[in-house]
Formats: sequence, C-alpha cells, structure tokens
Amino acid sequence: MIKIKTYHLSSLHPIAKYYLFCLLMLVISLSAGAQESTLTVIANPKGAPAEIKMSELKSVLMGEKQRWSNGTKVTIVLMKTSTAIGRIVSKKIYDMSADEVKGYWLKISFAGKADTPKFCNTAEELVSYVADNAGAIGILDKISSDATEVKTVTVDGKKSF
Amino acid sequence: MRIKLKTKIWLTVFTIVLLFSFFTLFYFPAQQEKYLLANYSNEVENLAKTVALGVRIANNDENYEGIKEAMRFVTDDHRLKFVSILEDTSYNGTGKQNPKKYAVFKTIPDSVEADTLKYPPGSIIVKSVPFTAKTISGAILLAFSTADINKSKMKIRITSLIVSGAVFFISILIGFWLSRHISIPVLALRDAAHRVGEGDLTQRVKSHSSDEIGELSKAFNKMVEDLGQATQELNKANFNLAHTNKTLYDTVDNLKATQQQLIQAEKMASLGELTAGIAHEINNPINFVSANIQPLKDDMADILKIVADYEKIIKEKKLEKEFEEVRQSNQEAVQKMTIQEIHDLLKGIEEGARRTSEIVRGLRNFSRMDQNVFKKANMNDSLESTLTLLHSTYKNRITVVKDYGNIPDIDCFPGQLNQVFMNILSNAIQAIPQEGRIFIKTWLQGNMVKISMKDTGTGITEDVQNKIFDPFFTTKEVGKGTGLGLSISYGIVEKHNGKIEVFSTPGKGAEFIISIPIQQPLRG
Repeated sequence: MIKIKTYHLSSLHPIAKYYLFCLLMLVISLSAGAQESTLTVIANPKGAPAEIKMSELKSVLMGEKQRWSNGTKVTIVLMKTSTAIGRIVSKKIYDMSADEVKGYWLKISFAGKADTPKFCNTAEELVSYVADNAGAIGILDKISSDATEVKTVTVDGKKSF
Repeated sequence: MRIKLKTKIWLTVFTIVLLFSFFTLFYFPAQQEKYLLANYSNEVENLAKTVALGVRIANNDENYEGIKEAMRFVTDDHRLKFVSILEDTSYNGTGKQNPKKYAVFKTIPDSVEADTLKYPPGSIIVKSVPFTAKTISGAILLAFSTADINKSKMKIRITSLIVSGAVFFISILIGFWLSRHISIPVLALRDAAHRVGEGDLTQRVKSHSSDEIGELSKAFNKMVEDLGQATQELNKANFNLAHTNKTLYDTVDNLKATQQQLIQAEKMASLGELTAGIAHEINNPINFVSANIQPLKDDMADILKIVADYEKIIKEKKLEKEFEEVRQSNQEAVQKMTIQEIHDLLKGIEEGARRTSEIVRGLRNFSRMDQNVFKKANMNDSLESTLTLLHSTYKNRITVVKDYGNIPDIDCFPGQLNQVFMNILSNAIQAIPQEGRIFIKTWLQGNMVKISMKDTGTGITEDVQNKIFDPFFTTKEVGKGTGLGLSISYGIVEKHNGKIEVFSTPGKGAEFIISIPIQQPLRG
C-alpha cells in the first residue's frame, strides 16, 4: 500500500482521486520496470559453459536441453514467478505470463518428461543453490562481484541482457 | 409320510452343503468383488487426490517435486488408462463463483483422449478429484482399468468353485460316514428288534462305537438276554405248572377212583352187613330144618319097622282075612310108593336144607367184615363160596371145571379176595354168551399161591387188555357197568402184595391169573 501524502485530498472529486491513483501506479510500475529489467545468467562452475547462445539458453530453460556438453545434468534455478525477477524471466525468456510459465512446468512435471526448475524465494537462495549444485544454471537481475561460488555466463556475448 | 433315517441324514448334510455352496459360490464372491471394487476405487481416488495435492503444491509453491512423485506412482501403474488435469477456464483466482467450464489441461499418456465414454462400461474406474490452487482450479481425472479386478474376480470365482467342490466331496464322505455310523446300526437294531418280536431271542447286535448308539446296542443285547432268561424261567415255571397240573389231575382221578372205591366199599360193606344179617336170620330156621331131618328120618324108620313087624306077624299067624280092610287100603304098591315117596321127600328136604346151609355159609364167607388185619383163609374155600353165590347165573349153561391144588392158607382180607373172585367169575360168566366152560385152578408156586380162572367166552382184544384195569373202563353199554370192578380187584390184589394178569386171544376166551404171597408183613 502506498500512502499518498497530500493535503486536501479529501476535498477532491472521487473520479479525480481515481485517475490520480492510476497515474501513480503507472509511474511506479514503469519505474520498477525501468529500474530492474536486466537479467544475468549465473551457473555452477561445473556444468554450464561460460558462454551460451540465447537460443540454447532458452532451450535449456525450457527443459528441452537436459544435459550439458560435458554430460552434467542441467539444473534450472529460477526465482518464483510471483517475484519481480520471475515475472521478467517469464516474459523475456519464456515469452509467457507467470501463470503460463507455471502451467508450462505443470504440464512438464505432469508428463514426467523433464526435471523442473528449482524456484527460489530470494536471490540469496538462488545463488546459494546454484553454487551447491553442479550443472545448475540460474537467472538473476544482477550479481555482486564477490560471489565466487558461481560464475557468470555470458549470453550472446553479453553479461546481462 | 415316512422318511427314512438315512434320507434324513443325507438331506441334512445336503442342505448344509447347499447353503454353504450358495454362500461360497454366490454371496461370498459377490461380497469379495464388492470390497475389491471399493478398495480399488479408494486406491484410485487416493492416487487422484495425491495428484491433485501435487498440482496444488506445484501451483501454489512452484515446487514440482510433489507432483512428480505422484505422477511416478500413477504412470508406473500398469492399470493406468489415462490421467488428466481438467482446468476450469473461468477461474481467475479471485474466488468469484463463476460457472465452471472444464477443459482438458493435460492428459497423460498424450495419445489418449480423456473421454470416459470411449471405454466399455465397467472396464474402467474413473475418479475425479477437484482442486483449487493460486492460479489454477479444476479437477484431476484418473482412469484405471478394472482388468486386474476382473482377473481377481475370476480367481475368486474359481477358488470358490473349487472350495464348493471340495466341500461337496467331503460332505459326501461325511454323509457316507454318518450313514454307516448312525443309520446302519439303527437299522440293524430295528431288524433285530423285529426278529426278537417274532420270537428269535438269539438276536444280538454288534456294538462298534462307544457312543450312545453303542450303548443302545449293548442295552438291547442285555434286554434280549434278560428276555431270553425270563422266557426260559417262564417256560420252566410253565412246565412245573403243567407237571403240577398233571399231578393234580392224576390226584383228582385217584381221588375220584378212591371215592368210587370208597362208595363201592361202603356198598359192599352195607351189602356185607345185609348179607350177614340175612345169613344169620336164615341160619337159624335152616338149622331147625337140618336138625329136625335126622330125627324125622329115624322116626320114619321106626314106624316103617313097626309096620314091617306087623306084616310079619300077620303073615305068620295067617291073619290076612282079618286085616283085609287094612290091606285093601294099603296096597303094596301104595305102601312101597308111600315108603319110597317118604324116602325121597326126606332126601329132598335134607338136600334143600344142606344147600341152603351152603348158601348161608357162602354168604357169610363173602361178607366177612374184618378188613383191618390179615386173616388166614383158604382160597379154595373162597372160590367155592363165590361159585355157590353165582350158581344161579350159570347153572345149566356153563360147566365149571375145578382143579383145586393143595394150597396152604394165606394171610389176606378174605372178604376182599372174595370180591375179586366174584368180579372175575361174574365177568367170565357174562363173557360166555350161550354155553361154555370155566376152568378154575389153584396151585402153589414158591411162596405164592396162584389162582387161575379161564373162560371160553368171547375173549379180550389187546388194546382192551391194556385198559382193562383202568378205573371207569368198561366194554358194557352205558348204565350197565361202572367199569370199576377190575380196577378195584386190581387194587385189592396189590394191597395183598400180589399180582393179577390177563391173557386172552379174541374169540378164544380169557384167563386171569392171580398170584398172592402166602405171608404178609405184619400190619400195625
């Protein structure tokens, strides 16, 4: 809930209040979007390569590619789709809504076809998980430079996108 | 309606088996199948619930492990036909109640269409478990094949059939065993009882078992034995009774005979008394007569002598002319006739008196009253007395030839022996229809005096000879004889420790021989 500090707000017309509210929401969301729209791919030192193409990344993250070229099993680690990062990932990588991503993985797991991603609540959790599991690959907004347990994977040459 | 015991047993066993068979073949399998189905249904439902739970967790927490686990169970199960997630497409997570619109979200296996109508009824169990998660709501549709259940059903049916068959077979064995053990012994008892009822007391029943039937058999055997014993005792008692009866009959006969004998003896006694009386009365006058004959004869002789003396003087003195009147009335012839007549008359009187005396003597002899003590008497005399008494019955018709031996006097009851001779001789006389002879002989043989009386009468047949001494036996017409004479005679001879025998050839007469010992033991 965002408190709107304004004087004489109660004196405004109800419709005006409504429009003001909407404007405020838009600004916030835009700014939020504007704030955090970059993604970084991290991976466990063992397993994922240092570089990866976007198409391959998508393939991996969709669960189509299940093993790295060195044979290690792919473990996808993502933020929950209810989180901001999760929503961005859904849009950018999967090109689906959060619900659609959920549905996707539901179908996958229902079919027993591929392993499902580990969905984390916090970035720390995600990083920690990636660090602990060989072959793990995760997507964050950014990573602090002192995180030595995980390596950054460049996607199409870019460190973040 | 009579139902045999065997039939009852078989019917009972059969009914029990039938009930059991019904239970085993129909009810029990049906119940089993119901439970089987219910269990299966539950299993499927539980699986569906598990899947639903997994879906909920997956959707709520974005944790897909649960559903993976659940799906592993589901897809590994060979009974799975399909499992689908149905999605309520009108669900928007706001909790508003929209009319549900279900669409298939996903079906495993992919190739299968989640259409329960495509399957024959009863071939699948379908369970639908609804779920609601954050962003998805719907139901899990799980369809499992009932083929396994059907196989189990078959197994149950076959098992129950086999069990029924086994029970049936066992029941037949039991039926046979029961029959053998119960029915057969019971029938044996029944048959044995029948035969005992018909009189066969040797019947016994074998008792093989130690139960109630065995006890019954033993009791039966004991009962028959007791019956046999009782019958034997009864028979013995009957025999004794019959014997006693016979003895009683004999006694009655004896008593009757004795009664008759007594009556006869009484009669004879009275007769004897009468006879004695008469004899006594007659004796006196006869004595007068006898006594007077001799003096009369003497007097007649004297008178005749006087007449003869007178004749002599008349002739000597030639006084015939003077006595002409007397002579005319006393012709010689008349004289001679008169004198002869007087002689004859006197002789007749003498003879008459003598004979009367004889009869009196005979009567007296016959009616001797002393019966308690043996007296010495001569049999020849007895026979003579008896003949005298019977003289009128046989004179001019029968000749009596006597051959009296030199026999000593014997100890006897003279009166009774007279009775015996009287009886036999009167029978002999009656046996000679017209003319004939009677031979009487007496002789001594050892210490026995023997008397034989033979007649030339009609004789006696052998079977009459056998009965001749029986009381009341007679060949005479009814009312003509008591049949007691010879039996009384027999008794009298026996009392004298003697013997009486009869010998006869029919048509040639009969002979009675009496033997009596000379001496009798002293009587108290």
